[in-house]
Amino acid sequence: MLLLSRDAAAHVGSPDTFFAGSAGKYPVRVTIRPPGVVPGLAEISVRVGSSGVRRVTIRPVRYDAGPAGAPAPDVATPVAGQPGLYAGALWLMSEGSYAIEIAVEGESGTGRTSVPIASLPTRVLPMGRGLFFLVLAFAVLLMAGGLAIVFAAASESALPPGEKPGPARRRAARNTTMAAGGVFLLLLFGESAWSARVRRSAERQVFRSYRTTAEVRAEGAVRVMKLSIDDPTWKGATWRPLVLDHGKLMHLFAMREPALDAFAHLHPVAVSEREFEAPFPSLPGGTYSIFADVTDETGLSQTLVARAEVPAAAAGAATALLPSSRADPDDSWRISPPLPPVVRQPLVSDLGGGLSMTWASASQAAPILAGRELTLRFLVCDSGGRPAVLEPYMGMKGHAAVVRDDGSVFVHLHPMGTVSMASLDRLSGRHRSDSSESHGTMNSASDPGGEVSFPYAFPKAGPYRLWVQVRSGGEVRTGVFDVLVR
Amino acid sequence: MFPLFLVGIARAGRSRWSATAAAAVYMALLGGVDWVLPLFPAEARLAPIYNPITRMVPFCFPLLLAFPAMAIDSLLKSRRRPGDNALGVLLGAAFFLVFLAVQWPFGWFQMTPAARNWFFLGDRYWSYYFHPGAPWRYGFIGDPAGMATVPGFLVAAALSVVSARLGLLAGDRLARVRR
Repeated sequence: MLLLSRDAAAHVGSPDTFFAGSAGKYPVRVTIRPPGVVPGLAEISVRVGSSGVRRVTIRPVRYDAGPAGAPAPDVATPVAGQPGLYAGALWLMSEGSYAIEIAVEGESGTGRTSVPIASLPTRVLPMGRGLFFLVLAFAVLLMAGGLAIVFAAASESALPPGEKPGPARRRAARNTTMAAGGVFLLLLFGESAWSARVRRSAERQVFRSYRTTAEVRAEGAVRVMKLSIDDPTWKGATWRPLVLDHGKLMHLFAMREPALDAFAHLHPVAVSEREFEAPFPSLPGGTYSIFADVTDETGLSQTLVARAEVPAAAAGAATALLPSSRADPDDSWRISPPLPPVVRQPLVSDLGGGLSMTWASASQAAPILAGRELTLRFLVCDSGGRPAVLEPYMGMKGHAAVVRDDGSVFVHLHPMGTVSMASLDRLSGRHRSDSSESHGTMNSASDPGGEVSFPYAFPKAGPYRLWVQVRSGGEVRTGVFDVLVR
Repeated sequence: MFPLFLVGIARAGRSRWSATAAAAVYMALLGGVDWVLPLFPAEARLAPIYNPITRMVPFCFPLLLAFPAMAIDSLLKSRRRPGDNALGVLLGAAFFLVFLAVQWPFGWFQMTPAARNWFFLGDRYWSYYFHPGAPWRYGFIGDPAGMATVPGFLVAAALSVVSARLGLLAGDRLARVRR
């Protein structure tokens, strides 16, 4: 059983944003670690791939305030010992969609780019032990001081200066002090109840993607997947209309549990206010984990999570390539061997049609480490070993889906990183042209280089499966790779 | 809270106008801060900035506490001396009525264009995170806590009476302090 969790914004279990692009003439790689609390400090690192950089500045731009409502930029400080790497932190004061605007100043002028991120409370921070004891020590000090003042006031304040209080007065003062101690304890108790209430309220406010259910029904020989958003906040006060991402309202990834041996990338269309449908491709029946990426008009992306029981295909339907005329031409799927216990990661995947895909940046010798920033680079070759011509697949050189074997991590990658194109469109309007074509966005031209790469860091150790999708010869081809991250 | 302090000070104070003096000091201090802060240039450094400010943002104009304080002082120092319980009711009611009579119309005045100046600060205390187009900028919108109703006023009046009675007690204790 995969752990399907809705406690995630865009992507699941992989909160960091990775971006590869360019700021003017400077190639940049940007990593943003969101705080997970609002307000909170987002950590930002910018790696500039060229020399002659004078300084790098960063600033937060909230979607509704725009650049005019953004503060003066902060200067990112160069990281010692790592030339070209700049780091900084920015406060994100409110919940919602932000763009981090990055400006690189240097010999080639000033270049800018924007990286969209979501500022959302995804966790409740516990109080550290050190802080707990410090606060406790202050509380004890404060109460002891308060009791001393009460005792002094009760025993001596009404006496003429110099006169010592008698035994009766001292006894009365002790009683008053005890009563004050009781009041203090009541205050402490109230404070504790109050802080528990604040904590519960914070836990309630933790962001969850819209509650979603999925089902697959048979319509004659065709199976249709229906995704229903039955969250009460859908169409509520905080709801914003969804926008197209790569020309689609929704990118849905389905993987068969538990072996992740069947995979589909579908594009359901809205059939009602809260229901989306897509024909289900010729994949075996079983339980499927569903991850559906959507972006709203503020640029906020989220992954809807569901699970669907898929009935076995009717006889004769299994051979149909396109299950229905309603299928989106960009829908794609692939069957592969079950995810084995990964020992040696296979580095070549057969794509059919004489093509094969090689994970060029991985090697058996060097294990992949959790948290390490990587460029996942793949090379597509024909049977003669020549690089294949890659055509745009939904405006991109490639798409990749990464899933940990227990479903606790899901991420949809593009050559420019984890951000959705729709968010970029919404949030980085005027810098859009700077985000270089060479970093993965393709509008019409084909690329004869046969290479596609994705910036990413695996968030935690464990076995992962990657599906890397490219289009070549007019067909979408999916390469499958397994990796054990240490 | 206010009657407790004002009545306590008036009861314990030796001067005829102790509470009035205390309230006046509060108003002068807060007003002073209000009038001085905007003289310093400042700029918001956190996003989102809905209201681009260029100077320090003051608090709002101080509450007109000196008026109910005058009522409290006159009642406490008048010749006729009712018992402390009756006096508490009288003081609490006086505080509530005078404060309401002064502060409520003043609140309306604060929302008029005549208050939009450096002294009354009618439009000056909006911080960077307030939407300048918000409907409550120049008007009284709703009453989320539901306090501006007859039951709400009655509760406030009752709290004033209790607070004033406690103020008398506290004032008596305070008057006995000798060191």
